[in-house]
Amino acid sequence: MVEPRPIRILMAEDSPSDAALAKEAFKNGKLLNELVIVGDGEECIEYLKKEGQYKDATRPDVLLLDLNMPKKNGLEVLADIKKNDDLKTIPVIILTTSESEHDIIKSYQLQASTYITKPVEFENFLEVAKQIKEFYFHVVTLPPNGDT
Amino acid sequence: MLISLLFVGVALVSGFLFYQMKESASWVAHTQEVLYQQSEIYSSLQDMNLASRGYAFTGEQSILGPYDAGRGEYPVRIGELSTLTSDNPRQKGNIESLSGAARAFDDVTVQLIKTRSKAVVSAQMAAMDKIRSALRVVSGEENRLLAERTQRSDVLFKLGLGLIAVQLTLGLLLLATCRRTVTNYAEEDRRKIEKLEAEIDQRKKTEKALKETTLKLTSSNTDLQQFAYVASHDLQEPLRAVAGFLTLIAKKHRGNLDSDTDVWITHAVDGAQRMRNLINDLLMYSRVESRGKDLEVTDCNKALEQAKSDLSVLIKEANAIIEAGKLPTVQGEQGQLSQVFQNLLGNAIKFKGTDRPVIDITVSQQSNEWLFAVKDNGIGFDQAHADRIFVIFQRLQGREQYPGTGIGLSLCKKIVERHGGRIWAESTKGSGSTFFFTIPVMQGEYDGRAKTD
Repeated sequence: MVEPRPIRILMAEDSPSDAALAKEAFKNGKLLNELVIVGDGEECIEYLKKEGQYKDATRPDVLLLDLNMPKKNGLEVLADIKKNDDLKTIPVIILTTSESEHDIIKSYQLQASTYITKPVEFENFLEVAKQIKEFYFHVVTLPPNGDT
Repeated sequence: MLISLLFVGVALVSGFLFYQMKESASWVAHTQEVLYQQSEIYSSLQDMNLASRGYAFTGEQSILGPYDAGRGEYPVRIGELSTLTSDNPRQKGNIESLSGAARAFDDVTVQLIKTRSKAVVSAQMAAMDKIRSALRVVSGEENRLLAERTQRSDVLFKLGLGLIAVQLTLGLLLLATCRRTVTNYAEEDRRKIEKLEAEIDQRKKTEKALKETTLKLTSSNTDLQQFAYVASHDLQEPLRAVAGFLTLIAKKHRGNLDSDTDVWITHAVDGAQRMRNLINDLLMYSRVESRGKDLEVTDCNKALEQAKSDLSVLIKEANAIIEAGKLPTVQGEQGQLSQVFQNLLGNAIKFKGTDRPVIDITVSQQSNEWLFAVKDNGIGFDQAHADRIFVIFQRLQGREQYPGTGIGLSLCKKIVERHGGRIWAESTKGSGSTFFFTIPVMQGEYDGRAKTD
C-alpha cells in the first residue's frame, strides 16, 4: 500500500475547537494529510467549485462534513454536491454531533458515504481518525483525483 | 286518590239522600191515601147516619138512597184501609176497633130504620161518636207514624247534607293542598333545575380551565424536554473543547511540568470528564420521555436478561448471585425496563457489603398491579433518606468510594412512572436494601401469561 502523497481532506466545521481537535487527532493517528478547514456550508461549496477566494483550491480526496453549520447546513451541501457530476464522486464522511434518526437517514439517502457521530472523548476521536485512515486510504480504492 | 274517594263518598251520600227523599214522598202519599180512605169511610157512615135519621123523622123511603150506598161502600173502604195499613200491626188493631165500631153503628142504624124510635137515635149518636174516635185513633196513629218517619228522614237528610258538606270541604281542602303541593313541587323542581344548570355551568368552566391548564402543562413540558435535550446537547461542544485540549496538554506535557501543574491538569481533566458524565446522564434522563417508544407487550424476563448481559463483567468481577422468579409480561418498553433492572442490579453490586453479593428478584400480584422487589445484602442506608435517593444527582456516599453521578435511581423513577407505576425503597444501614416498584397489570393478563383471545 503506497501513500504517494498526503491525503487531501476538506473539513467543513463551524466550531474552531472541534476543528483543532480533529487536526490533532489526525496528526496523532499519523494520518498524513493536507487538511483544509472551511467554517460554513457556503464556503464549502465555493471551495469545491473553486470559486471566489478558492479559485486556486485543489480537489479534496475526502470531505468531512459537519451537519450543523451556519449559512448552508451539511445536508444542503451534501445535496448540492451529489447533484454535480464532477463533485459527486468525492466520498463524504458526515462527522457530526447529531444522533437524530432523521439526520442519519437523510444523510445516507443523499448518498453520504459514512455517518460518524462525533465522539465526546478525545481518545475515541483518535480511534475514529485511525479508522478513517485505515478504511479510506488503505482498504478502499478511491476514485482518481484529477488534480493529482 | 283521596279526592276520588271523597267524590265517590259524595255520590253515594247524594244517592242515599235521593232515595230517602223518594221514600219520604211515598210515605206522605201513603198517609194521604189512608186519610182519604178514612174520610171516605166517615162520609159513607155519615151518609148512613143522616139518611137513617131523616127517614126516622119523615118515614120517606126515598131518603134511604144514601144509606144503601153508604152501607155498601164502608166495608169496602175499611177493607182497603186495612190493606193500606197491613204492614202496621198497631194500626191493624185500630182498624179492627174501627171495623167493630162501624158494625155496631150499622146494627143500631138498622134498628133505627126498623123502629123509627127516638130512643135509638141517642144510641146511634153514641155509636157514631165511637166511630169518630176510632177514626181519630187511626189517623192519629198514621200521622204519628208519618211524623216519626219524616223526623228520622229529616235527621238522615241533615246528616247526609252534613256529610256532603264535610266531604266537599275536605275535597276542596285537599284540592287546595294538592295544588299547593304541586306548585311546591313545581317550585322545587324549578329550583333543582336551576341549581343543576348552575352546577353544569360551573363544571363546564372547570373543564375548560382544566383543558387550558393541561394544554399549558403539555406545552411547558415539551418546552422543558426540548430545553433539557438542547441544553445537554449544546453543552457537549464546549465540553469537548475543554476535555479534549486538556487531554492534549496533559499528553504533551506529562512529566515535563512541575508536580503542581501536573496535579492541576489532572484535576481539570477529571472535572471535565465528570461534567461530561453529568451532561450525558442528563441527556439520558431527558430522553426517557423524548425518545420513549410507545408501550407494548413486553416480557420482563427478557428485560432482566438484557440487564444482566449488559452487567456481565461487573457481575463476574463481584461474583454476584442473581436469583429471580418468573417475571410477568407487561405493557412497557423493554429497553427502558432493562435500564431499571440494570440500575438496580448495578447499585446492588456497587454498594455490596463484605459478603458475596446476593440479589433476589421477586414479583407478586397486588390487585391490579405487579409488585417487583429487588433485595440485596449490601451496605444498606438509613431509611430516613429513602425519599432523597430518588432525587436527581442526589448521592448518599462519597464520590471516591462509590463512583457514579447519582442519576440511576431518578432514572428508574422516571421510567417506572412513565409505565404507570411507583417506586420506593426500604433499608436498614448495614443490613441491605430492598427496592420496590410497581407496574400495572395488563388487561387480559393472568398469572404472568397473556391471554390469547
